[in-house]
Amino acid sequence: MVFSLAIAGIFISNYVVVQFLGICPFLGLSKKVDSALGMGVAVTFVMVLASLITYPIYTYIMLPNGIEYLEIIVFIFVIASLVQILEMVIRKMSPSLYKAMGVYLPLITTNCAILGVAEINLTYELVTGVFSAALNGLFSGIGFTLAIVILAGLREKIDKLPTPKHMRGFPISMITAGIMAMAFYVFTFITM
Amino acid sequence: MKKILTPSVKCVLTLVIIAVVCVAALAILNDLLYVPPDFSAFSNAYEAEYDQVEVADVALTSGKVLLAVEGSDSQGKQLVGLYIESAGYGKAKAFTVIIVLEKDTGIILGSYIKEQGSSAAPYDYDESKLAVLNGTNVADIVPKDPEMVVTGATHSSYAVMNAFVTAQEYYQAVYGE
Amino acid sequence: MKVKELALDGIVRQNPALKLVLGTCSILALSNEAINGLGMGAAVTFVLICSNLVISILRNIIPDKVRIPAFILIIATFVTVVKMLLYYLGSKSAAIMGIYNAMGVFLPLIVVNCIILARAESFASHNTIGLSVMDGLFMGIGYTVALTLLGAVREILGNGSIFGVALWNFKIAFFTTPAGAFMTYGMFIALFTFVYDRIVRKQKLGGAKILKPKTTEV
Repeated sequence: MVFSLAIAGIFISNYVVVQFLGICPFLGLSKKVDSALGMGVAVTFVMVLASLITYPIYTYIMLPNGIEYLEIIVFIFVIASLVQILEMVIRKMSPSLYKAMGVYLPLITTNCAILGVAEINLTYELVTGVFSAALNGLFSGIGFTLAIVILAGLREKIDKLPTPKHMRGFPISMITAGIMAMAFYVFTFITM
Repeated sequence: MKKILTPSVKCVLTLVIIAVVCVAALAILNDLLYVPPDFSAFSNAYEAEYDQVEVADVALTSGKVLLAVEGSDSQGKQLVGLYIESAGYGKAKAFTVIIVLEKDTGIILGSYIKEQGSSAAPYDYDESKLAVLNGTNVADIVPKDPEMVVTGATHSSYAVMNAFVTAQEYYQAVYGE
Repeated sequence: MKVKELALDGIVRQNPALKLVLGTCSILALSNEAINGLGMGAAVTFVLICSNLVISILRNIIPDKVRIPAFILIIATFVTVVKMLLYYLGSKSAAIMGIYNAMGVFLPLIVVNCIILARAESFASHNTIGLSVMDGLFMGIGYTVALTLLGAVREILGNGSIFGVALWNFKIAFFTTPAGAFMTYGMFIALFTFVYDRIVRKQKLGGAKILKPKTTEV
């Protein structure tokens, strides 16, 4: 089960290049491999925590009481609070890390991937409890990190090449992402 | 009074008030836009009046029971309706099958495939084959008996069969003796 | 007069999908068919108008320190409203249910769609109610037009149909895949920038000043 979650999360249903989640940081931040890796690790961390908190709240508190229509509000509140706490903790514990990552942290709140994994956990057939939800968060985050780091590596090289004026920035990143998507598309043929 | 309304209190108060208003509005809207669950699917399998019942937590090997209903037909026969998502088989993904059983005996009264799972080849199940099952006791369904729902698309028919096996297990666990 | 400015901003000069490139997740996911693009665009426009409206009304009441949480709360409420509305309408109409199912997880994800928060933060919190509603409307229209066009292109090339109506049998499956989404969207942005720059340049050399580029960032 762990293996299925891992392969599905990282490759078959890769959040960035297959499910289109977490594109904004993917495009905006992936110019350098270090910042990409840092963002990926932070996002993975928040994804695991978010899964751990939102899944039980929805399954054990909201569903039995028939208030599942408040799901969106509750989830985004949980995620925003998590990111806020994370920011405070990092600032206290490691000021240097905070300086390096400071700008990106608030952006994690609006990252589609985090709310995405919280929502997907509710209907995903491989998620059957809090533990598998957290695992799904972990592996989806790893997949996200993988995609964003690869793209950063590619873009570092591409930025040194002459690019037609109108292709610079977003278009060329999109096309590179497309090629990556083609590579990952192969994984969707794996049935387990 | 002014002393209490410090900036921080104002901040928290504003947020709380907005939250309360939003939640109240959503609660009202939720009741207004309520969509009652659709039981016409069961009537397609076997004509009767149905009411939703809670899906019991049963360990099932070949699928999931998404919705369970009980009802009675015009002759007063007690019925159990199951909305089953079968585990796929091979190339065929999950099939959604509606099966209606007689509550006391477990005899299949009607069934049909609501949604066929995606598979490699287009698959048209044979409705008459499913109709043949009516009158058989669900306990007598033999898992993976290819004669049962055969159309030539083996994976798909096995996937449909998984639904019947699910019905068998669920019925035995919840209504059996 | 101001309305025309806002309209040009929303649809052309600061088109959220093609110039600002915000809310990309939804664009990539919902551009596989024209009708999906239209549906998602309509939903986003609805949320944009409503949240801009409410935030503009409350703009002098919400303390500055908690404005982002307050905005998110309001936006989340309207996204929930859209979700409920679509599901309700979907139970009455199969076409709408089709759109609802196609949107899937991206419907609740509208709440983190950068466009809405960006407009709330940069426009609705400083402007009158009427202007904010207009801004929401035109930004939404710009987004919808871009998304529907993208969806139309991908649908025509990838499925040989438009809005579900089959046109011919020539299909290039590539355009229905994620890779096709990325590439088509990338080319769209490049094309848009190219045409936009051309028009701006033409104006600088004389001619009607329709697309005067904004020098002050909103």
